[in-house]
Amino acid sequence: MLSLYRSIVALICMIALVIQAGCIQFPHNLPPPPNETVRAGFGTIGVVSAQYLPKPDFQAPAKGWLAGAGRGAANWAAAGASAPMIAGGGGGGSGGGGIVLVALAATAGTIGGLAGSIAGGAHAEPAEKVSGSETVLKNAIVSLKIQESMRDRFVQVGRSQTREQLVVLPGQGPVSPEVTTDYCSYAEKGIDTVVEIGVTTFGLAGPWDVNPSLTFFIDSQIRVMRTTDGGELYATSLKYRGGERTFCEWAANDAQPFYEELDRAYLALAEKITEELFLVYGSHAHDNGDRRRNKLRKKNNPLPPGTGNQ
Amino acid sequence: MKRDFTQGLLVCLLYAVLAGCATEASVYGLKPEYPKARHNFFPGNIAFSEVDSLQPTLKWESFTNPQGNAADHENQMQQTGNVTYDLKIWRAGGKDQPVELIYEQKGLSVPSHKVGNPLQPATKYLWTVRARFEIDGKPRVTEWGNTKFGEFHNYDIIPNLNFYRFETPANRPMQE
Repeated sequence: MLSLYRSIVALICMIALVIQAGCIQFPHNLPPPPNETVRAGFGTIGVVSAQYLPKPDFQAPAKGWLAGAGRGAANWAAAGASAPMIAGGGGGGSGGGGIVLVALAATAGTIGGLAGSIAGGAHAEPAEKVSGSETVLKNAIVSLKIQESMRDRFVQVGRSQTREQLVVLPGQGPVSPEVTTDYCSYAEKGIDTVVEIGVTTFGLAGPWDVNPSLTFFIDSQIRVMRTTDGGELYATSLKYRGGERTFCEWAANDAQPFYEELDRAYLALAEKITEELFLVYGSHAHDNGDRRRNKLRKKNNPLPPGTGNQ
Repeated sequence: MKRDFTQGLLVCLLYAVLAGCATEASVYGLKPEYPKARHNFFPGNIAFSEVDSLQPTLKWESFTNPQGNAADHENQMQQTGNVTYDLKIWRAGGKDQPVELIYEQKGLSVPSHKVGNPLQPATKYLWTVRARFEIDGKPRVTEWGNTKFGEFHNYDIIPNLNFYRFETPANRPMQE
């Protein structure tokens, strides 16, 4: 009895600690924006786009009732089987209790699988409709010029929101995400800094389900280099996460929703890059989780409203 | 005796947890004044505070001109001028993430704004503001306001998952 009581106390303490741990600040993923001294040295900025093709990554739904039944059965069986194990204490237990839990899980899994196959079969899109949508989206992807469009949008936004001198340098970016391109030769041509923008992956992401809601996404890489010595001034990756629709909804009307979301993504990414490189001042939200440094700076220099941690 | 002590300890621990979480959230950028950013009971989670109408007047702290403030670590804030505010509102998706930008205002002259058109009733939204100003004639902005806690601070995700949150009231019949 005492042992059970101690276990309950220990469990509650553990839950409390886990809950409190949720309040701990986690590290950030962005480097600090360039400071004013670095920005003052930008001079004339050449903008290049990556020369490689971004990797398309599209999660497709189940094609037809049979595939839908399969996915539904798999998902529901997994959910059904895990329910008794969770209720019974994370799959633990020993002796008779453990055997009962496993038997319950197997039964629930079987029932869940049967129910899931019926539901999955009923909710799946017809195979021809999914295939048609695949063709529409594939054709849309072929016609895209993602790298150039992203570069041009950034130049447009940068020119409208800042006073920086931005010049497009066509056909000069890296040939793969891993390759570092040397831009030193541009120093003689009056370019002081190069901003390199590359879209690495894009597509529709979501759970492996019968007909899931899929999120449009773009992953990109940004680097800023000095041309005089090739020094890297700034580098980061940015991820756009947009609207949610089913696969066939994204492909509807000749993929109109897909194109519109792509435009929103270009704009959102271009604005974010512009903000980070040229506009954000006094930001403390990008300190990469260096709490000690942040704390010291805060103590010595308490920031005015709107310029940092509050 | 031992049992009383353990129970007391547990109560203190739970109180500490609640005190740490069910409070106003720390933020980056301009602090929201209405609706405020608050944690809900679950840690790392920012509550969707219900606003008073479908066209709420959102308020936030003003961006003050810190003349001669020692906080200016780049020593350039003395030349701050032409302060305005930008505001954005997104509809929240199934996982409470911003999925659709539905309202945007630029160049607001005061730190509050009544939403221009009625929002959907009983719907979750995310919102954010920033100050736009000039330093020595160069345009600068504060970062978009967002809460410190939440989805592991994925600052590289656009739009930010930790923007401020509110929920509109359900459509109520008109009172006679």
